[in-house]
This record gives sequence, structure tokens and C-alpha cells, in this order.
Amino acid sequence: MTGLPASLHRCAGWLIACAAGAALDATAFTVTISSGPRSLYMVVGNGTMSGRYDSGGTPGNNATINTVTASVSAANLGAGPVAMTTNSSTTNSLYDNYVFCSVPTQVYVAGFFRAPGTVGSASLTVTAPANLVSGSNTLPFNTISWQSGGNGDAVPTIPSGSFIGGASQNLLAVPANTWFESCLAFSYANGSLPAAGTYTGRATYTLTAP
Amino acid sequence: MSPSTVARWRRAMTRSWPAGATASAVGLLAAVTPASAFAAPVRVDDQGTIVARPVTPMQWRQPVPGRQTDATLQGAVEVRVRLNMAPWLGKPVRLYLALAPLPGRRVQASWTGAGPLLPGTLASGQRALVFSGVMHTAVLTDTLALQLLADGRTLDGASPLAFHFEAEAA
Repeated sequence: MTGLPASLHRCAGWLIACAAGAALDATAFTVTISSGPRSLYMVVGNGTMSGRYDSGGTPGNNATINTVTASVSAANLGAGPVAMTTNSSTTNSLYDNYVFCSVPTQVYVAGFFRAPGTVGSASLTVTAPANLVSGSNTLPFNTISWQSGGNGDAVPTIPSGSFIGGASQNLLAVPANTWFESCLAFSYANGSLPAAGTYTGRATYTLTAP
Repeated sequence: MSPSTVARWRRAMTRSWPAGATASAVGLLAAVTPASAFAAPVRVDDQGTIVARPVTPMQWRQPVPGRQTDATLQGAVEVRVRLNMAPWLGKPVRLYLALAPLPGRRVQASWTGAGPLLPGTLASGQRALVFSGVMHTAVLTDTLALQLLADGRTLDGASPLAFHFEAEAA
């Protein structure tokens, strides 16, 4: 190659590389595959899923916002915890149709996080305002707690707890590519004597993937 | 854990990637194709072989995962095989499809052919017999419907799978 212009040196080298590449290509073929798509799904109360998880079940959207309520008579004001009831009708697991929750005492909470590789866990949180409100009257949201359960689950997936009110709180770390579900039974502490009225507030559950 | 719970977890486990699947596959293939029984394999010129898609999209085998980790991906692609078998024309030959090792990744391929190639299954780093007999054609063609399974936890981004055919005198 001595005496060749610099540009020809580069070209010659490139041709040799090409020839080597062609030889390899002649005895192999490559199938390139993509990684799995990311997805996130959560249901609180009534949700939508077509089919079971093991038969190509496909999550759907459901805009329903369910409620939990407790009615305290004047005679029982401040007399201790009162179980709340829900208008959610979900009793069967959306995962495998197993009878998992009881209504109207429990609210079904479930979901999953799909991601390729090793990306860690998604985070399930709940955020509630500081107070339930009835006109100008308020009742602290931390007077509402929940007992977690689910038929057949000796240890509930989502731990029991109570709302802290006014801030987001962590409920569960959800490992990638796993399904979680629990049934939450809410209760009102009923330890005070608030003014008569209907007190409302909304708790928002959020599943956040890394 | 109640019996019903056990049943539910068992159902989930049967749908997840079985931990022993690869080891079992290796054992089976080793029993069928002892490496020392044949002459050294020679890579076959597969120039003209065409993979139908530049990138095969992999989907979760189940869109919804189980309660235990279920990260199996699946995908399918058609491969139009064209092999230069001239060096083995009129000779008894064993022909294998091989998939190069993928360190840290778990991929399994299975296929059915529309022509002379045998169906089979292999994992990365393995080979499987696809033809055995006297080669009567200088150019062997077939169309393989390739099914791919992969552990999604070991894939992040596009991954090239290097296949090749190799022949041994029978």
C-alpha cells in the first residue's frame, strides 16, 4: 500500500472490512427482537378486564369513581368506629375471577406494572385532602382507616392503615411484571362530635412506574 | 395459606417462565446430538436467506402478569431459508440450526417448516437437527415460521439473535 494516497488507504481498508463482513453474513442470519412494551394498570373499586390473566386477559378503561360511606346517628356520635360501606360491586378478582372481596364492606384494589429489563418497582400511593368537608365544617381525613384483606390471603398485599390527610402516602412497592390485589374495608373512627352534615372528600390512588 | 390460595398460586406458577426449562432443553438436545459422534460441523452458506422483518416485535405472552413474576415475551417471524448445499450434494449429511449464545439472556426459538427442514426447538447456545439424509439438491430452500420466547427481564432494547446452519457428514 506504500505510495497510495491517504484517501485510497482508507478505501482499501474499508473494502477489506466489507469483504470480511460479507463472508460472515453468508453463513449466518440475524433476527432482531424488541424488548417488551411497558404498561401500567390499576383498578380501585369497579374496573374492567376482558378475560382472565391466563387467557389473554386485556385491561380496559373504567371511569367509575366509587364511594365509601358511613352514617352515624345522633345517638352514636363519638361512640367509636363505624364500618363504612361501598357502592363498588366488585367481588371477583380481575386476575383469575376468584371470589376475593366482599361487598359492600370491601373495596377491590388491584393492578400491575409491566416493564422490560430490571427496572425496579412501581409505587402505589394514595393522596387525600386534610379534611372531609361539609359546607364550612370539616372532619379530619385521618379519621378514616382501612383493614386490608382478601379471601385466601393470609397476609394482605396492601398493608392496613389510615389516611394521613393532606399529603401523599406510600402503600406498596409493586415489583415489575407482577399482579397485586387486596380488599380494603374502611371505617370511620367516630371519636368526635362534628356538626351535623354530609362530609365528603376524595382519596386518589396512584400507581407510578419508574 | 388456604388450599384455594395454593391453587391460585400454582396456576400462576404454571404460566411463568419455568426455571428448569432451559436445563431440560439442554439435556434433551444433548441426548439427541452427541457432539463427539460426528465430524466437525461446517457452517453452511445461507446467503439469500431472508428474515421477513428487520425487528420482530416481542409482546408479553400474557398482557396481564401473574401474582408471581411472569415476564415471558413472545414473538414470531418468517424466515425464508436458502442454503448452498452444493458441497454436500449426493452425500449423507446432518444439518443443524444453531443460535449463538446470548450471555445473560434467555431466548428460546421453535419453528416449523413448509419444506424439507424438520421442526424443532432450541435455546440460545444450542443447535437442533433440521435435516438428516442424502442431500439431493444444491440449493435447499424452505420457509420457517419462527416462534420466539424470551425472558423479558433479560431484554432491554433491541437484541440481535445470530442464527446459522451447520452441516456434518453423516
